[in-house]
Amino acid sequence: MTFRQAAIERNPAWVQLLGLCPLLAVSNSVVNALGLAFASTFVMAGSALIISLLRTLIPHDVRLPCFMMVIATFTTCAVMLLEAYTFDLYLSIALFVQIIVTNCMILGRLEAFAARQPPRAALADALGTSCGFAIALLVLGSVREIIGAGSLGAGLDSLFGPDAADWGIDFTDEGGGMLVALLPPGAFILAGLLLGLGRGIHEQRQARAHLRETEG
Amino acid sequence: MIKSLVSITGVALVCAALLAGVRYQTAPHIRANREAATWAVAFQLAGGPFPTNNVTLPLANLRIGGTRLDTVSTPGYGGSIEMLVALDRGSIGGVKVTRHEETPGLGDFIEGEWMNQFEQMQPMEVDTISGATITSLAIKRALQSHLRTALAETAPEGPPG
Repeated sequence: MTFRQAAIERNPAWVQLLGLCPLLAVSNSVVNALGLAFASTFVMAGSALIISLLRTLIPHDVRLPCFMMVIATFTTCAVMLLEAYTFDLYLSIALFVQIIVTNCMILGRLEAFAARQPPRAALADALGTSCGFAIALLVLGSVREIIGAGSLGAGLDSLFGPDAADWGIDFTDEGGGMLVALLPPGAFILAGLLLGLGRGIHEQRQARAHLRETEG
Repeated sequence: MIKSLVSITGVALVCAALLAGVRYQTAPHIRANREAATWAVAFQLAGGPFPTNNVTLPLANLRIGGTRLDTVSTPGYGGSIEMLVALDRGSIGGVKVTRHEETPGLGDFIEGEWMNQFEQMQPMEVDTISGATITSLAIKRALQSHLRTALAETAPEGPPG
């Protein structure tokens, strides 16, 4: 798939419903969502590139162990890099970065695409898929942070250094919001609503395209 | 068969090389980060920053004012649990877990308020958390034996040396 197809039209989270576990678990604030998005992109792009380069050397029978090994390697690298360079963020999302290895979105794209395509196409597909995942994470993360904590982008300094300390917006003076949005039930409710919204827009666009076709 | 074996070994070697490279690059930063985090906890327990030039981690019988600081490690459920313990006149003035590998969501209550109870009662009097018996017991026993050793070391009638 091309970048656009992979990111929007076949968005891994909203259209294919892949990788929902880390999506729901980490999307309670923008900074956590961004951190997981970066880590997933790193793992997705890195393993797609390696698998695509090695695709002629990996026999069909042992492709899954090989894929898992490569994904696990990149996940471990991501954890080490996070702990070395963004320690605060590591403390809050390390657990979820480690389970990127089980994110079916990554294995799925490797198996369905990267293992059969040249490196450039595989990389485009991987970046598109991760971008789609990042969009889903960020949208959900923003909504949950606004409703749950009454802020947007708080604590971005743990990702971008001390300069970013006041990038965040605080909507309430004393902080706090509807706690449920930060907890797992809130994640499910909001994810469901956003999913419905996405579906609705998609169907409307399709109906309009269909109408244009029949009229023209 | 042979081809599968060779290729899977090849992929493993590529992965190992990659891991070794990243580890070599990040290890010093990771160590520095972890030590900084541990020192921050130590400062918190000692009630303020103190010079750390001549002190190395793990801490053993470090005296800051009237407080004694030690690193206590014990095997937990998922791996080693490491904590910093502050002793004030023979009783626990504060204890914080600095590293652990207990089950997320189940054994990680040891990062939270449960630990504050050790400031008020004897280690074995603190309630064990059901579902995480091994984790709770490991901490209680480690603190108990640490207290006993520390008391024996400071007691005037204790054995010399």
